[in-house]
Amino acid sequence: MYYPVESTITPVTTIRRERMLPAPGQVLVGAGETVGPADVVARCQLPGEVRILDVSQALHVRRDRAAKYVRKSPGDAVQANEVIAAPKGLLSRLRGGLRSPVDGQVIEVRDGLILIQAASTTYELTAHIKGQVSNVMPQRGVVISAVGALIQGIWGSGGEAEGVLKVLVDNPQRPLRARSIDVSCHGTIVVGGRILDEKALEQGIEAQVRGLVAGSVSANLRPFIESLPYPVVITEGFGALPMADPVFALLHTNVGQQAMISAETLTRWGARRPEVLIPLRAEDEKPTEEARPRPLEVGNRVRILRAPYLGAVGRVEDILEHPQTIESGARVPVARVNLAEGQSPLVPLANLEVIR
Amino acid sequence: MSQDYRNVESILALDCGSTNTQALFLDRVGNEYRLIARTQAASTIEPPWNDVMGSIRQAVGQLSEVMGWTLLDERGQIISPEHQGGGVDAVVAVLSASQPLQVVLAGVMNDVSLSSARRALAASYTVINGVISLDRRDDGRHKINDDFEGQVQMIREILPDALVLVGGIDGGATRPVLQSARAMALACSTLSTTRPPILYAGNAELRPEIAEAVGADAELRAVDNVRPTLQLENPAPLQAEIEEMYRNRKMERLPGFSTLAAWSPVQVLPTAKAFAYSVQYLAQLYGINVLGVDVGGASATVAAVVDDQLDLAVRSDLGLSYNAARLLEQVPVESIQRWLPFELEAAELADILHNKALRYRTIPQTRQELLLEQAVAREDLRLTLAGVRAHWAQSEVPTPDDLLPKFHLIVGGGGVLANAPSYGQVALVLLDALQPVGVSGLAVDQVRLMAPLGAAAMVNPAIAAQVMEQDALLNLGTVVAPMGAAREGDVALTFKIEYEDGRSLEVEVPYGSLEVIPLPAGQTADLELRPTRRFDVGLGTKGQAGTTKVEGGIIGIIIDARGRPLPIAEDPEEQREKMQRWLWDMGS
Repeated sequence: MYYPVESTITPVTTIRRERMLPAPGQVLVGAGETVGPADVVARCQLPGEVRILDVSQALHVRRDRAAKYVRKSPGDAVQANEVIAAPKGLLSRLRGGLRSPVDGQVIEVRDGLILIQAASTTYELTAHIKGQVSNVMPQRGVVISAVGALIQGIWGSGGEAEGVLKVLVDNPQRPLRARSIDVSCHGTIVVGGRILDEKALEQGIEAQVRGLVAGSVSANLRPFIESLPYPVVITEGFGALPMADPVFALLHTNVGQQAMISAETLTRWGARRPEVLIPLRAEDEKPTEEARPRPLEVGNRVRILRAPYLGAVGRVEDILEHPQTIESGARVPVARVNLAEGQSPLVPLANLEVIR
Repeated sequence: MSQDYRNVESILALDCGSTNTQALFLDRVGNEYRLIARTQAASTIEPPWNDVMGSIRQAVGQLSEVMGWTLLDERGQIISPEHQGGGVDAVVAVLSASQPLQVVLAGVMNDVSLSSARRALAASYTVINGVISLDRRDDGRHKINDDFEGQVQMIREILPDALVLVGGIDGGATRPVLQSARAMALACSTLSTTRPPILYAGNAELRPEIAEAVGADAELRAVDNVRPTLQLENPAPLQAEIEEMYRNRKMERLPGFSTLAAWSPVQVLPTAKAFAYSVQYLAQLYGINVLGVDVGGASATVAAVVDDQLDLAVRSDLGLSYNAARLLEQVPVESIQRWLPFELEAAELADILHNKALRYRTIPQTRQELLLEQAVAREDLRLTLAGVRAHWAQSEVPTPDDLLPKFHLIVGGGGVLANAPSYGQVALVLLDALQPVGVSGLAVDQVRLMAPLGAAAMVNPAIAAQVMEQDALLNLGTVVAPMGAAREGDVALTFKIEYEDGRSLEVEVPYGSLEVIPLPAGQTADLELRPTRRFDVGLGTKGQAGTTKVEGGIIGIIIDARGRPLPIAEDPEEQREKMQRWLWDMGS
């Protein structure tokens, strides 16, 4: 029995997502409430950054004598530009004083240093998904349930966004061209077969897109994508891979719908995949539950994860009883996969991802 | 060991890696102990399972099926001790699936205390995420005395598991060390989350002042100075403390660990440490120098015993699973391309490695991608070896031209070597990455028993020893690698081999070539080596002839006359041709 990696690409499923505050705070919604993606469901205060000011350096005094020039004590509130340390008498006119760079509170005065914690900021947690609050964790967050289409990607960068889905290519092979990202893309989540170069990504900034979904991108563009002001979700991987047909078809079916993307990716230590969520219209069919891991079976729809069939989607025709020798020369457990082009190659089980 | 394990006759050894979990059953067969069966399951430490026990139970369940012997009860718990209906006498486990310990290191001089501390930290699964150093060489971005805020912000940003402070020989530097202690304490005092402990292994005379500087801001643990004098390095106390921290803060926090620990009568060992125990055992058993290397999914390990002295280096930022692409941050892409017999554009190479990091359980299906992973393994090993090489440079062991000291046995392990389709490829990865000199035995830990046996020895050394002897290592053969350089094609060495059946063969080996002479496993032969005047076959003098008895193996005798250090052609096309020739020579 082999438990393969799974990927969800489904037009209708029940989605449950935890929305958690980064620090204890206040949950603003109750169980059963309906929420929209932009609705604030919880709120907390985040401590401001800690600034360290060197009195001895600023006032040109010995470190062990710096304390006597400090005008504030731990716990005191300070305002930006307020003098917090200064020499007394005539010297003060010559050397000036040390001013706080921020509004905040003095938390420590030691070794000729003043530590100021900037004023806290309010963090507002949005629902991100259009759905119903199914569980409330007091002070921590909520679980939101929704019914809709779900597409798991493989890599992403840039947080979360929501917007109307706009597919800019007519087939999944086509790269996203800068010229196709025009003013009509403002505030939308744009979709292309793959990302060819930086131009299209730069044009995304210009047009103020909310997010971008593509099949693939060169690994060399990864640092550039990580610096973008909008999130990007990659569905297949790095290189010049077209978007998988089932992914493209599902996105294409939902053009004009409101979609939410979450680009955060963690491969280890609490692995997390990027995803595209499209809430279901009322008239759509009844959802299936998100599946639990199941063993690989004949008939499973699979995506192949390594060359020479990287990115191809097909169905498992047979799971061979004994290991077979593959092109690399290794002898490994394999399955025969029927691909759309009529090919039925043997593929190592380790290189299959079941599409649920 | 206080407990009596004399009655332990069967052992279930578990190896929980980041990618795969292995279960091995060791038991008596006739008068000796052998490996009875081995199974493997994909590790389940990530969602949706989040439990190390998931893959352990899968692998043990498969073992039960394979052996027709029940090992788990209806609640999924291990049946122990063994009785007529099933079970096993003892369970041992090694673990490398935990997250490495994240460390910020502060010291004075890069080439003194900091380099000693780095070597000490390298013996555990640690990653140094930030360095505070007095000099700006290396990666010490933050200069003590002029960027106090930078140091504090760095620690706040990284939020490490531990802060390690070294510096000053005993009775030496005080000011910069105290400055760092103050910065560390200050950073800790501003953290609202769990504060990392400060581990002090610097100038011993400074301890009271360090304690005063740290105060109540952080937990301070002081151990003996890692560099008590300029000439002396003392890594053991720091290593022990770091290992303890790794155990408490990483291993024991892995979901499911407590169940695993409850199954075993002895401590669950970090895999690298257990691997090192086995290397040490082999060295002691035969009275030889042994080099053990392992390229795993999430780390690369080198354990070396030279003249009874063990050195261990683990790189938790290298490996062939989710770390696969991180090698690109550490070496130029040409360093990987040079090991490929075909042209592969840098961009495509990066794409493949980044995809591997995302889909880290996959295996190469094409020969191209297989050879790429082997190229990565070469570089991973080369970088990891550098961690112990620096130590040899300080010791009395002769290492001419920055080469390896003499090793009688070299053992390779880890998925990329154990699963290689050709033994020639395994041997070539080891030869290219390590560049041994003189005469060495080559073996591969094909069933990945080295680390589990290191743990098994804690309950019954006899079982571990016998299984090690019989089942652990697959002998590839013997390599003869003359040191020196000449013109390509010039004779480097003439050798005469006399087989057990009286046959003999005399061959001239040209410089630049790799020759393989079959000598089946279990057979020995007398080898007479006559290097030409530019070459030394490990006898200490160029041109000096000698005879040696060598053991056969699955490959036989490999004469690696390519030169040391291994010459790499400047022209990429020429290097690709060379690489193809070397693969052919090794039958791959």
